[in-house]
Amino acid sequence: MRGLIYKELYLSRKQWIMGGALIAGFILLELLVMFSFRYGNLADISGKESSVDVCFTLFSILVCIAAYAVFESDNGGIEADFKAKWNLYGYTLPVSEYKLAAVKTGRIAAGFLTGTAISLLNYLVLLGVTGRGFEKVYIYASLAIGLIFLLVACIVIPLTYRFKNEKISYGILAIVYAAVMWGISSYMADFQKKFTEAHPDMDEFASDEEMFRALAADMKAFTAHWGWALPLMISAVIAVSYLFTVRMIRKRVM
Amino acid sequence: MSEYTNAIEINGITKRYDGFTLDNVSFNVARGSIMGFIGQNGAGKSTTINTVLNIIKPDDGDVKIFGLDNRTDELEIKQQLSAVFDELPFHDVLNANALNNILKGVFEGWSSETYFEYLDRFQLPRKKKFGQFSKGMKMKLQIAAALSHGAKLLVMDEATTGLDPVVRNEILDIFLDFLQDEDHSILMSSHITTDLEKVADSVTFIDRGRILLTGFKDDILESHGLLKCTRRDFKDIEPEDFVSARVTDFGAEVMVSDRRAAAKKYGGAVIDSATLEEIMLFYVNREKKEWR
Repeated sequence: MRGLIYKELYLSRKQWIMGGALIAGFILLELLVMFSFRYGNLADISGKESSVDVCFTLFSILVCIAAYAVFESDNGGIEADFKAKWNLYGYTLPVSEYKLAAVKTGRIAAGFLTGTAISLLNYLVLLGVTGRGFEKVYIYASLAIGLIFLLVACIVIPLTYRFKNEKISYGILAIVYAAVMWGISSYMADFQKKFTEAHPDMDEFASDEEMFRALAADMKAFTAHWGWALPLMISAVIAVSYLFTVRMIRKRVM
Repeated sequence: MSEYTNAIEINGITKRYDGFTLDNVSFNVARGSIMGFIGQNGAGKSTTINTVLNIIKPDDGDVKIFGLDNRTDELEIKQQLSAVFDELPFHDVLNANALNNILKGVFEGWSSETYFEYLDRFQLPRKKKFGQFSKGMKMKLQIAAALSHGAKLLVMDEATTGLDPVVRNEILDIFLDFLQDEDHSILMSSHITTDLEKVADSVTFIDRGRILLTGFKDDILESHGLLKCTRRDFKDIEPEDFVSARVTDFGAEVMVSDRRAAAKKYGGAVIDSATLEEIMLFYVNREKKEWR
């Protein structure tokens, strides 16, 4: 198994080095901008506080997305295994299907941790440069982004073992995504309809603001009530993905 | 594992596909020998080999390797088995050093020393990416990897196909070296019968998913012969005495499977030795109209 982990690391190293360099360059750029807000040309602009707010949020989210995208996705690894006929060779090695699948799933989990560490580090750097106080919401947002990437990878890995082609896997994922988005937009439309019916006298802008406030309160209540189920659901998705991957490897797709 | 007499025992394996059936295939590869597995393209060689390697699950039958079941004892068997394919199954961006690091973490018996000795012997570079290797280099690399973890059994699927005669000879010599240890065995599929004629101890012919002939190579070569006669004399030969015949305007070539008996029965007829290729051709073509 050690050898297979080494293979994954070796084959990913170019993508990780290039991605890592890109993220480092971006962090350097954000530092320059943030230092400029504090000591340089941007320190004297009007509305500086709101600009710093926007930049702070933007930089932390962008670095977070980039880190997860670089480290947490398979990026054609399984498809490359098929093209190189490595999968065929893999079936002749003294390694169980459980371990073959664990290497792929483990790589994604390790990518999640790496992405989280980079996001957290970037957040702390931004805090240090701006002198702002710690806010948990950024950590939650970062974890939520990481979990989305994790779920995407959990769907794509077994599908790619099944279809030998990442494009097909992402095509199926797009259908799932469309279904989820349809569900969310239906819920939002329904919520808006009910809210408008309940508050017929509110003007348009006040109504929107109130509605979002109510929606946020609803989501908070939902999270407080069902939040415990989220780690379970994520664990279940990873477990299902892993077991489905084992099943696909057992089928000896070539 | 040390008590087995056959490195591989294939018992009645059957695999049905749309348009092709591997039909009740059975043969053994004796410990310490090379078995040549001969057949034309699409005859069922790769399906049989992939079944031996437990890559394909048969609908029926079973395979024993070193006396163990190839499905239930798969991991134990695969520590002692090496597979070599017609194409390099490693990523183009890998190099020989990286492959060493990968495989030493996979095989318990991996020896980096042996592996690098083979690389030096084959004059293979350690840092060059496999994508830049020639076909011959790729095959040598696969063999170097296959022989570096103390495998007792090599299973090769068309490993010498597409290689020039010099490289093929070099590789065949390595196989003979490998067989110096009496515990080592090789199952080697090929449609290049001259290679098998050089190194194989026994051969198995397969055609359209069925085994035509299996046995010691020398016995098969000794028992088969090519009887040459005129068209008129051919009419006197009884159909049960020959495998098939090629009749032209100039005469007839008849493949007999019992050379001595044929020589006795048809005294005066010239019976030449047959090569494995000729034997394969006469068996494979025996149902064709142009052949009798």
